[in-house]
Amino acid sequence: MEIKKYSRKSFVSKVGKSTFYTALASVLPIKFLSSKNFIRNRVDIHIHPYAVKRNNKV
Amino acid sequence: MNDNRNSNDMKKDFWKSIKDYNDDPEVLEVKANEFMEGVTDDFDESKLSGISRRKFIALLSASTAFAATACTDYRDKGEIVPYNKRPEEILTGKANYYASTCTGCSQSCGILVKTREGRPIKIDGNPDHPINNGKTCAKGQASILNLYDPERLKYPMIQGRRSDWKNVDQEIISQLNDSKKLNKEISIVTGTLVSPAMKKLFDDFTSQYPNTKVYQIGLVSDQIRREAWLESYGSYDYPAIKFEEATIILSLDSDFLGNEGSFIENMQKYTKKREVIDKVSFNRLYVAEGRMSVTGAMADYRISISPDLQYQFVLMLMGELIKSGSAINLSNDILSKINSVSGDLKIDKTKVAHLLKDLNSNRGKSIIYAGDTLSNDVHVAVNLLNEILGNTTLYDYSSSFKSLMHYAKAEELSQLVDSMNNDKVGVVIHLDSNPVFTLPADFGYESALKKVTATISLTEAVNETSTLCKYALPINNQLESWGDANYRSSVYSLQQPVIAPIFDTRQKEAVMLTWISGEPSTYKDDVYHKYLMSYFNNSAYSKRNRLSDEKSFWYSALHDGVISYEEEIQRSSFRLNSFINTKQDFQSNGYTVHLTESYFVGDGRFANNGWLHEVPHPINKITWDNYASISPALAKELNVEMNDLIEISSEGKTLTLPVLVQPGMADKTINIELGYGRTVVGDVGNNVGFNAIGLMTKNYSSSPFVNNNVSISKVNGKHKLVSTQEHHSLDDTFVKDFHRIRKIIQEGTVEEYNNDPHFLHHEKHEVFGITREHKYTGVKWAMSIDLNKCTSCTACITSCNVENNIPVVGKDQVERGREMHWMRLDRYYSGTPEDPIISNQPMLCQHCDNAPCENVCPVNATNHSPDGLNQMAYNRCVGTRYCSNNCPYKVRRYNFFDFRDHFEDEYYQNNLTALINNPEVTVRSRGVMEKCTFCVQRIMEARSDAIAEGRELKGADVVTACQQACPTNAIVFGDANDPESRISKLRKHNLAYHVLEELNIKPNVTYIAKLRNTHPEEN
Repeated sequence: MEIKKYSRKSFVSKVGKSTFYTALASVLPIKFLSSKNFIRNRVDIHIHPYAVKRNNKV
Repeated sequence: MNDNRNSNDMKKDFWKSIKDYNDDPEVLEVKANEFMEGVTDDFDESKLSGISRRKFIALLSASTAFAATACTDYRDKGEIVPYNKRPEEILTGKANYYASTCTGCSQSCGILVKTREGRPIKIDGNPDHPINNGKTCAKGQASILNLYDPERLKYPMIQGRRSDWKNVDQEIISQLNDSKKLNKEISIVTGTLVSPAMKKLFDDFTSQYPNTKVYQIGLVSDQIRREAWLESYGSYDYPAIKFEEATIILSLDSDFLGNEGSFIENMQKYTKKREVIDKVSFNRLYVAEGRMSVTGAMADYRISISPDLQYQFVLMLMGELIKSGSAINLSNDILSKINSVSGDLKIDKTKVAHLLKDLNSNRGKSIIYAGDTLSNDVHVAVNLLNEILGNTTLYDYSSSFKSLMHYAKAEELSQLVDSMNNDKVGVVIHLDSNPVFTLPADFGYESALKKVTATISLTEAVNETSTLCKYALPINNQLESWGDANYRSSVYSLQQPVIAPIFDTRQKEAVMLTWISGEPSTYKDDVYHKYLMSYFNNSAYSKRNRLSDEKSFWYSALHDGVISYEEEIQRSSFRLNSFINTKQDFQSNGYTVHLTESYFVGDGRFANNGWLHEVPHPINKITWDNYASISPALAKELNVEMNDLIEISSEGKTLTLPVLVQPGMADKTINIELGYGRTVVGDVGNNVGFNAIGLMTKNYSSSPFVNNNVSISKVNGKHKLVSTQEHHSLDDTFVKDFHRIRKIIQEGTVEEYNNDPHFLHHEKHEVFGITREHKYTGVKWAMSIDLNKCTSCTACITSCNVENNIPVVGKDQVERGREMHWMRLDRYYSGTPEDPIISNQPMLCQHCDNAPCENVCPVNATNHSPDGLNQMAYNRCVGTRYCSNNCPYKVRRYNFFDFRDHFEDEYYQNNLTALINNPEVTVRSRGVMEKCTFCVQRIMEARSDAIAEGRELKGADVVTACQQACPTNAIVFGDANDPESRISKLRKHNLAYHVLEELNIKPNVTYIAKLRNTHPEEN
């Protein structure tokens, strides 16, 4: 049976390339970096301090 | 247009449009297909890219790998955490209600604002308010979206660049002082003033800056009515009308049930004499109008007449009626003037004969009411006619329409523009007004504004005026503002903020107080709050019986939102000389253009509100546009059909817009709605519709809204008008007279009903089922809609949209039949295109006991609850649309897209607009079917309250959103198993029927057949 020869060099090269492309494709680092620095367009809402409520439903 | 029938040949009793009436192939094709064109087309294989299986699977796996790593949204939306220290006012999961006043128009209806976790989510009427009695209009309901409009002004701007309040205040105070020193006018241009506190503020401002002049303007207002009342009776304030006591009502181009004046109040009063539950004793409504209005659609008799002939019409009536006497003495001058008007009006003589007979026999119990857009002379003539008939007993002086200042006349505004051009005006302040858009172009306001040194616009959102002003200052939304209103005598309403200002905006009155003080550092957030309280204590409190101290009275007034007291405006006798000075309008041999206020965008202030653009017009169901409504005869004369463009010219001004062929329009009359065609309003409203203000002039002969000196011509091109009326139609090609035979609309006359109360059921027969009927124990929900009271005002649809997070889909999707409204208002015509009769029918999910949609769902996403609701489980739905296919009422709506991010480049995705969503209702995503749920969230809340209180749930505990909004209480909802409930009585009423009853699907929405109050001899 013929076994395809797989040298150490080509194995390491394959693993290295896969790791590189996986890291590139992974958005996890992007999420990590962006979530802290992302300028949040948050809207803060507050109840008006002087509003007088009435809680009878119609 | 293929008109292969003559006008007397009524092929079928009910029709939805001119094309339907003529069996247009386009309409027949729409009816034959479940979905609009293109939706269900197969793929064209030749256009697919050729790709091998190996490559496809490689791409597929690579995509999956990417998706797996990217399946979390990297945009951090923040955390949801429970309160560590809960604010005292908030109980998580429970709503708070605040009483306030609506500022959508000058009527100042009382509102209750529902808030959840501090943010307003719904506006409804305040039941304690004596004018609107717990109801609001469609504009009031949808106005909540304006608070969350992402295109609101967020900070002050100088010359289009961001600034801050301190800088702005300093510069403006300096400009005001300079104008004072140089004796230049300081002009304040404001909308209709309803706030007495603000009036006092103007007085204080004038004390500080004596050369101040205030101009009150309004695009469509009651200015003409007030000026006519001033001439007739010497008072700028005029009484309300007791429509509830009138037996005969004649409306002259007045849409008093649609969008004119206090129409919510008018609807309630009018429908008091349209009750069927006990004895039937109806009023009779005559409408003489040029356009087809909501009021015209409710008429028992409708007379088509051009608005420029109304004066002649009134005098003709007067001439006939004085033969039988007059309640006031008429001089010979008056009599000869009445008889001087001649000419054939070319109107239906039979109807006029009925009208004269009714007015004669109901003197003192009838009312003639002229529209706000008619000329001063018509109003004076109508005032005299009411005096002659003794109808002044129906004038309600205790509930008069007050005015805090007069509207600026055209001459005053022209003088202002001249002063601006001649450098006599130092500062112009626009207080929530937009004169560059609302004033006719021949005033030259826009060019004059550029010549003034300091131009200021205090506005919520950018508009045509603010872009030309040096200072654009953002003001609070109505829900962020303090205020008061005294538009009606005997009623003083308070407005309170329910949310702190979201952006760097200020109360407009507070801004002016800062300018009065002369020092920017005096501004505090509560400066106007204190001012208002002080005014309140000196006026409202000091005039009442003081059973409590000032502070308690203030808090209780804020709690209730309104104070009622007794006040009557002065009555005086009619000045006959005012009638002597009236004259007949110039009658044209050409065409007459009649400009009216839009039902939904008002004077343009709601032009950026997607809900209001998308809600169908009450009569012709057009969305996202305005148009020129013309009669079928005029369309034939011009050789135009719907969507064709016409050019309307008048004295050098032209307007090109599409045509809508409207049955019932008076011949040679063109009706165009105002408020559209805005160019600076926001992404939603920019360039929607056509600006008809371009046809108005300051040099009008009788009324600024009626122009009978126009010419019209057809021009090349088309503009697609999108109407929802043909959507969801039942295919009636197989059965002639489908709507009559299938009894979708059932109507009769009052006389028919009085002679035989069971007339509706003679042809009815028992429908048998082949399965055992399910018995509902406990509460069984059902709804009834009284078609005698439904005016198609569309408040129900808007309320449903707000309550249930219905998305706006945009014009292109509405064209494909994908509007998402859970409720629709079907409008059917009968009669002929020249003289149609309109029948309205709200249609929503009928929650059928034998629902055909439930059986066909392959995943059981739709099922039936023990209390009679047809339920939807959104997360089970896979979007086969089989349920919609099977629904005979076509009330199911499918989310073809995720409309959160589809509409206008993700308009709904921003953090601000997302706050409008009601947290009690799921926001549906793409691929999911939805429909009316009978407000199941309100039912669940009522059930949990009942359980918490240890009592049984009652039908009256639940009020659906549509029922809450309906001004006439046409919609009744409750427990059909409770024999004492109103819904049970209505279900058993002689006039009750179900749509498509013979299918045996047992719908739970009962319709009460409409009765028309026509003359017995006609029947």
